[in-house]
Amino acid sequence: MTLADTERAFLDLCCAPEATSSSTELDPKHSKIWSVYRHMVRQRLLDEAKGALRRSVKVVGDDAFHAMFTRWLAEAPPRSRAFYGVVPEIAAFAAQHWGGHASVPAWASDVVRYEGARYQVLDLVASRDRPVLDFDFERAVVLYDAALLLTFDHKVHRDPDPTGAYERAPTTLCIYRGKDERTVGAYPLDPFSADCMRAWRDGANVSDSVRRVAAAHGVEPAQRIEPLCAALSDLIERGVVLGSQP
Amino acid sequence: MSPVIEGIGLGLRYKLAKETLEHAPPELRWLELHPENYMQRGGRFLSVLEQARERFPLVTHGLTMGLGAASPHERQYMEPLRTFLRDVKTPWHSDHLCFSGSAGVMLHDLLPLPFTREAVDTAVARVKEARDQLELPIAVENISYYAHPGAPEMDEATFLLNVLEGADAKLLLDVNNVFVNSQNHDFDPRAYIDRIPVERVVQIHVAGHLIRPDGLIIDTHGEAVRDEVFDLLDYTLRRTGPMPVLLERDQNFPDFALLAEEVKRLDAIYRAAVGDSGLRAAVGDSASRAAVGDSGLRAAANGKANA
Repeated sequence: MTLADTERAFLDLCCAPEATSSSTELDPKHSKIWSVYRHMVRQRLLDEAKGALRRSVKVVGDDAFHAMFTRWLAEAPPRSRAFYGVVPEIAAFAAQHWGGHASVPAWASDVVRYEGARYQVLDLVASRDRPVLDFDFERAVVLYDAALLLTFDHKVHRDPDPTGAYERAPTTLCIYRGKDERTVGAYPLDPFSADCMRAWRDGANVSDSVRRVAAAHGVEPAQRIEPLCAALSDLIERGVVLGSQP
Repeated sequence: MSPVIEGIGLGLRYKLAKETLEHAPPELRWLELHPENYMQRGGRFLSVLEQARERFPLVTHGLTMGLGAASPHERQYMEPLRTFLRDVKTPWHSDHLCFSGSAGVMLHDLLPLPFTREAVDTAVARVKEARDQLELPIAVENISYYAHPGAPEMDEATFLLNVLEGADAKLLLDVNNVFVNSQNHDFDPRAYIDRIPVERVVQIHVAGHLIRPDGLIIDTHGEAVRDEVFDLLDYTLRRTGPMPVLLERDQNFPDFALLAEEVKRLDAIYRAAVGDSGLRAAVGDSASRAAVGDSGLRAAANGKANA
């Protein structure tokens, strides 16, 4: 058995939905030990996923979560060298797998995307020590890099109702790492403010973004200034908007 | 110049970081960290790393390089790793004599290599690549394995020695892994230690293990270190002389006070085995190692040189 054969047999042993003939390839007299390896590899990944995606597990139930995990390992096994990179991979797979799947609640895909983003944002590389000026409407906006802007079909940042259902309503959230660098917040943005924030990401200043987004939305800029300023103020307070580009 | 690494160290784990950094016993001299947990990562882990650097010398220990993997190391891993290792000023970098995945898939476990000539040659090539790419001494760690894939062409110790010799590599000697393997595969752990070329050893690991109901012993890093492993450490240190010794604890974390007690017990074993002067004589920094060479290391290990 070559080294390459050994590696292939272990991948099959650990990732296949059912224990297969790979243990025979490795050495049939140690089949119990190979099942120990299979269990250790799978259980470690599963424990990490279930620990990080608790709300998703609650939404779909243990059986459906395990079924998704089994398919993930078989079809899209982990690529990240960092163990903390595995959860976002599973969350992305689960969101796609559960999207439109009749056997799980309609909000399952949104909940796992939301949880995956909250997990991911904790580890994003970002610095608060960038040179910035005080906020200026005519200068490009400097945003904190540990912040994600995602749109959902449900209000997943709110608690579900007593039946466990999440309210259906298009919702855009800025999911950000807090100033303490250890906590995560989710700030809801109206569609106008969300599009402005996307424009800021692309380097626009506030004045230009308001004109451009107002034209795209077919509204007068003056109508939207007040809620946008409120959002800006909140995002500055939360450390998502750091200031203006020097 | 890199700091001198000597005496007892502890793995820097996020869940233990606050207590490690604020309540470390005086016997704790250095910390080991896994680059995969800190490289290209922001937020709280970066903050922990910065605090750790201010308080302790650091040594790096990788989890995913797979020094026996069939495929060459990935450039997108090695280049940022080299930058990271330089930044934390590690005197050497270690990883495991195993593979951890294949074809871009990472299984996040230490998987056993076949003890074959092909696997020796491959591991030698991988260790040399790593040393060239990282521009640092590479220490190879012996792993716990629970069964051998296929038919072995040699025993585990011979396999390890062939890799060390072929690659002219350093050894991170995991004493717990020697003990676990000796129980699972029925050999004398002291005879294994006797075969280790002490001049290649740069670091030692100790950890706890789990004995399953069926008798199989698993290297979990999740239990207290057992007396048999403390005894084997004592035996090993009397052969190697002064050597950085790391307590590994990765899960099932107890109160920090219990870990601190284990650190103190390790320190007592260390001092008894190598003598108090051994702490000062330990040669830990890469610059000194380069200057004195392996013969100097041997002399230091025998208490005949003071680095």
